[in-house]
Amino acid sequence: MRRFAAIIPALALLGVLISLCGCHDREGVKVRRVAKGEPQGPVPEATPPMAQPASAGETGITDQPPALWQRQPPSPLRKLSYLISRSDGTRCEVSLVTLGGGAGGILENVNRWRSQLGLPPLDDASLQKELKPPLTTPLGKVLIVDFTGTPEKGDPARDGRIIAGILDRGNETVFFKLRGNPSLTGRSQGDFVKWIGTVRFQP
Amino acid sequence: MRKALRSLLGAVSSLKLTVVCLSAAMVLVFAGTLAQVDGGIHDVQKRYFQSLFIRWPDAPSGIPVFPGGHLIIIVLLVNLLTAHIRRFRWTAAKIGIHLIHGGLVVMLLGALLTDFLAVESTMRLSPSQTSGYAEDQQSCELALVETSGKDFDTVTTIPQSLLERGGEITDPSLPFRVVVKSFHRNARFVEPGRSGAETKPASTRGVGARTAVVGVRPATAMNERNVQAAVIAIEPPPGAKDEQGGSWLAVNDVVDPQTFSYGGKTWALFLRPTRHDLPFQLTLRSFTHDLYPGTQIPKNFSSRVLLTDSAHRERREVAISMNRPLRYRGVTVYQSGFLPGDSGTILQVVRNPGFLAPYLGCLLVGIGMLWQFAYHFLGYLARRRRTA
Repeated sequence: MRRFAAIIPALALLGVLISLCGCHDREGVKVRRVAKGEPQGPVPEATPPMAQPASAGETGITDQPPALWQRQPPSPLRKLSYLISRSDGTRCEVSLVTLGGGAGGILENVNRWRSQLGLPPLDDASLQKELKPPLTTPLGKVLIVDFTGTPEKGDPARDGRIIAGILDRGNETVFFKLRGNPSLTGRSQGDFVKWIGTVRFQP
Repeated sequence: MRKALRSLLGAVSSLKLTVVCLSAAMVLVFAGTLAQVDGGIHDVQKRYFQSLFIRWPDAPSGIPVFPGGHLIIIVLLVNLLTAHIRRFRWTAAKIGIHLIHGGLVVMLLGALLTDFLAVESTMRLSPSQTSGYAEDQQSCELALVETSGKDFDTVTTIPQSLLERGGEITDPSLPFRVVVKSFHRNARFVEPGRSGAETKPASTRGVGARTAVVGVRPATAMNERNVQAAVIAIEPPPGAKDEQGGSWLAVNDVVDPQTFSYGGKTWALFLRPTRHDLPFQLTLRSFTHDLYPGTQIPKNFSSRVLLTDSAHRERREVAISMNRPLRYRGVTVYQSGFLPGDSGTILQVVRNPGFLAPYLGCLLVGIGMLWQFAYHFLGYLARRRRTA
């Protein structure tokens, strides 16, 4: 009988382990309270030590970025992405995003950027006043806006100013964006404008 | 009845079952290794080794075609324990065998413990940045942030497993229902109307109002990553006042918040890597990335961090480098990589309650083998002396 008794703990262990296998993936909804200002969104993916950023050819876009811009891997929304960082910890991000058609309109996009900097929305009339002289490039006229604000959740070393270019290509809208530390963004404006002029879309 | 029990006990504790399990384990390791050619290491690990069965096709409803790693471990454990209890003899000649079996049991249990409880994640820090959480880049969660509090935001997170299941999600912290319309483990975004079947914008509001979403095959290479996307609708609970929340496309790549108002409060939504809270905070003091002179080959990465644990009144600076991890309160923090342009550090954060099991198991097996060898060797010497 002692031998039969041996099977009971073994079978009990089997039951416990199998139910653990079934349960360990079950997670639930969690609620946390976090201090205001803690970033909640995803952080753009870093370059793993062994990974090489994709070449511009893979995105169907060619460009000539300044030497100090660090190319970042493209993502589904960002066709081109660069990082400008300085040893004092300040940084800016440069991105090129293409969206179909009118992409929701210029005003909506401009107001979205303004809200990211804690600025009030504009109406059509005030938008016209905010537009800088357009940039003439081989791809067409690029509308330029430049906003400085104080983002509610942001590090001043990395955020506070957006200079953006909007290019209407008929079937899609191209957004060129320079965003980051206000001072560094200002210093990078010349390079940014030159870079926009070098961007070409492969047929 | 007794006869049936006897035959069951005989089958469960038989050496034949041990051989079958070990053979199945060998086949599994071979097949799992080959599968990594096409599948990513994480997917293969989950499908072949961290499952009860390998299913075909690879879905919960798939037909089980071969025992998975967990089933083999569990059957081996039961087989070993049953055989051991059944044939147990407390003699000096058997002590080594008991220790070896004990060590194997500890190793098998340790393997299960690691699979169930271990969490691997990464923490990225720029100089002076402080963080009390790490992110698992292999999975995502939907974060709904209620921002009306003065000093605090309330963050409700919905894990990927619930998003994949789809349907309605409710929680007392949410005044609305979250209805998951679709979830993609890897997604691409196209202009609405341009790509075949996906002709409509993904959602009515936010970034999805301007783009259609298409699911693609999950990435498997180590230098690729999946971009998860979920289309969700914000709907009032049954019987509540109809308040239009609309539908949203959440992408684990969109850094900017997508905001909406509901019940007079402002909410932001993000799809982001799953966050794991840590029992302490780390602040990056400095990061160094040394190269071999005249080359771009990394020689050493190291991070100097400030460890702060207010609950235990701990506050000290720690250096973490490639072979010198920080171990604190059950968490091990390794130096893993660096942010672009050396602008910060990437630390790997591992919490594994079963990390001692392999050491303990190997120690028991080693002592057991030594005992067996010494016992028989000394017996042999004694016999030889007697014969002489």
